[in-house]
Amino acid sequence: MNVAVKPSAAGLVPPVLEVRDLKTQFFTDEGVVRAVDGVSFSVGAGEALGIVGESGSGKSVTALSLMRLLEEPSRIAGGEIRFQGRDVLGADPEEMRNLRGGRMAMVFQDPMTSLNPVLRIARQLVETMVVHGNYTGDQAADRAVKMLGRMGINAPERAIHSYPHQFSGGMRQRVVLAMGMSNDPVLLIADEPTTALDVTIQAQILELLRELNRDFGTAGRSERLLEVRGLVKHFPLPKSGFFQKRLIVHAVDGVDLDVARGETVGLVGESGCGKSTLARVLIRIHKPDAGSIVFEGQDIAAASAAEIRPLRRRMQMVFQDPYASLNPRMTVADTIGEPLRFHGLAATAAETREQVAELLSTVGLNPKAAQRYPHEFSGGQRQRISIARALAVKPDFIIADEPISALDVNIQAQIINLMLELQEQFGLTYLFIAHDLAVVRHISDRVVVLYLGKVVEVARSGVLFERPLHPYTRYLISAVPVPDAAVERQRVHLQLQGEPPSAVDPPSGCRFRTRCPIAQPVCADVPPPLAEHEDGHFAACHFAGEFRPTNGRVHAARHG
Amino acid sequence: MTALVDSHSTVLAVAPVRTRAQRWRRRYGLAAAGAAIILAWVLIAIFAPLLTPYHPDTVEVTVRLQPPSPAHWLGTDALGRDVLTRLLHGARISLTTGVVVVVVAAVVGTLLGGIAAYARGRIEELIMRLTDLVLCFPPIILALAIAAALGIGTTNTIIAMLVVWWPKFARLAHSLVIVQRSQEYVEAAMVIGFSPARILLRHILPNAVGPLIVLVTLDVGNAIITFAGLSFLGLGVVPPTSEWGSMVAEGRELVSQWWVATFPGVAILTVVLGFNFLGDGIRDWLDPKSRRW
Repeated sequence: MNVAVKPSAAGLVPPVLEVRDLKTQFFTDEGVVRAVDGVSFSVGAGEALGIVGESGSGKSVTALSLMRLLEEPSRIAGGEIRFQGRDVLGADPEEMRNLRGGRMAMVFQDPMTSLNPVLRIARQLVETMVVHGNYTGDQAADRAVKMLGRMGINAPERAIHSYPHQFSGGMRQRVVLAMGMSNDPVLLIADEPTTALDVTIQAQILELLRELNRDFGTAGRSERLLEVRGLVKHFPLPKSGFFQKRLIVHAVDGVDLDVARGETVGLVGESGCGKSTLARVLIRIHKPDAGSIVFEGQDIAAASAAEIRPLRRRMQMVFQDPYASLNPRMTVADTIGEPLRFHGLAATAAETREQVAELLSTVGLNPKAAQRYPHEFSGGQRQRISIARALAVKPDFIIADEPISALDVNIQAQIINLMLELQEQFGLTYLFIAHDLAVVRHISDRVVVLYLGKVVEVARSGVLFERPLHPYTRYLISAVPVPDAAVERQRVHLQLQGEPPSAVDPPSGCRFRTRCPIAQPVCADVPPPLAEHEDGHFAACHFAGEFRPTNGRVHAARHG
Repeated sequence: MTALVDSHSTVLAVAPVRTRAQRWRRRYGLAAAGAAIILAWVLIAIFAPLLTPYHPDTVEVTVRLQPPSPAHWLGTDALGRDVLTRLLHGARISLTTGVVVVVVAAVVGTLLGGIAAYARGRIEELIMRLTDLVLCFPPIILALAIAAALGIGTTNTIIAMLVVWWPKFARLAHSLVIVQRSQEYVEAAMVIGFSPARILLRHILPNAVGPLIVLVTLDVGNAIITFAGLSFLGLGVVPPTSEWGSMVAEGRELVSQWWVATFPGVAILTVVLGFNFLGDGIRDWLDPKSRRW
């Protein structure tokens, strides 16, 4: 894949798209209609920004403004649009034509009208590529077939010679996507790409967009929501005797972490590696001993309870144990309604009741459940209540601390799906903590691997599972079962030896060295830095990527 | 033959069948008995003047140390006062002081213990070491010393008892709140942004209050005994006032006039038993593991 823009975890790259104070107006006979009135946002590389609002709120006009596709009587009246650092509003028509369909592509709402009905698909696709001069006719024809295949169209060699009306709506939207992606755009603007489609096709198209975003690194949106640097949390243990040295648990020991708006970051590691502590420090249940936690530009690491209180609305948490996370003496209505009243989101009792009922149906529970107590519900239902409580204050960011590990397997899937739906619906950002890597792989955009209070590897989810660089990650992945029994038998199963060392007295140098099969003397002396090995792929290992066991060898080496 | 054995064992395996009334008695009988005793004493305390023709403090030297008779059901004391009348009036002081001491001590102790457990750090050290300090002394001796320093009188004795009484509640509340505060629902409340006071009072304490209620009920009897003990030792109530402990004290050298000391003692016994029954019942009721079926 040619990745046009590097998705970066450290992310010091300027945003791909920056919109400041954009004003678009319609000069009608009745006067000026301010369709877009001072909109600002930015979209980083590899990010997907969602713009939501009801019909007529100016979503499409914003999208059209970005590409300067507006027609009279509408005009951009002010503001600034910067695309890869270049001023879009100041660009001449020639430059704009190059941008459009080239590095900036758009997928429109209605697949019925965005394809030319009298031209074959092949011609429309090839034309787009040739016009921008990136491909010759033959190359383009070749690529067009590949793109259609990539978009999930069966027998693309044949399909490409069809006319648009021979395709269904969903298929046509795939063709439009193929067209949009054909020149490797840096920015893909999708204007309600699914509204004209039925629900199942909607889901497929959204999933496709998500995959494309991952694979091509195309931006669809975002700024960084949470930025954590050098976070440390130590817990002193009670002294065992008066003259004894006080022992300290190094629960979180210098963690760096970035979370972009709208993304799902998976946090994995063995029990006791500091995952839950990290979550509780981030959300300031615990106060960190060192480091910074910048949430939406505000450092909350050392902030007082009063300073954090307004931010509490923005970040919420879903807990592991649905049997402990709900106050047993409060009804569901109180549990969900109390935060609403506390943060002034509901003024009267009637308003609270109404919102509680709405929240309950949002998470798939009967609004009548409000009058009941937590013990009257099953684990999965309780977890839904817990999610409703977190959603009550309309947060942007939710930390989920192993939200499904206490649930039955079939219920786990339901809760995961609910969380994904809610993310779609409310544009939530998740930090998802789990030890189940299969789940993490399924839902995360990026994965952070923690070992003994330190981050050992960070990568996009697909990359991490395909090409883990840190030996520990390799062990973790190897422990995930594969559903296909034949594949499962063939797989290399690595057994991590011994218990994790105590966080009270962590090993010198690299913390993993005591269990690492490729440890060298240097590992005991020098702690490996978290270095970027490929784009957005970080690993803290002196010999990153060098541990590549094959079936027989590993067993021989380990047991012989 | 096997069939016979089988049917036999099936019959044995079935639990004894109890009627609803039997089950109720088994589960709540003791607590109900305790509650009935307490209720009876409360009614007696309220309506004491209506129950006897005598006044508790009227000295009638001509009828001193009369044994129980139709005129004086429980006899008279060394000053010719009717023992039954004094006993019934004495219920007022005993019950009030017992309840007041325990309730006030429970509220103060629970708040202090709760704050200590929730705040941790220096505040916790301060409060818990203070409770240790008070608990170091035998309670009745310490209360005696404080009451003696403050001077005789019901109010002073109550104050002295409060000083020694709150630490046990602080201790219990401390450990209960520590258990609750690590529960995820408390963390969830923190994440919502509630103030510590609100989390402690509205979220934690309602979940920790069960054992405290048990201790309160069981302890009222204790407090009544202690107050009676202090009165027996000459503190507590000022002389003419009738109070069970001081009544026992007045009869302690009258060996042949057994009724003077015995009946107040029996009164103490019944009240204390009543509170203990009720406390046990509430404990069983709150703790599903010890529930009787």
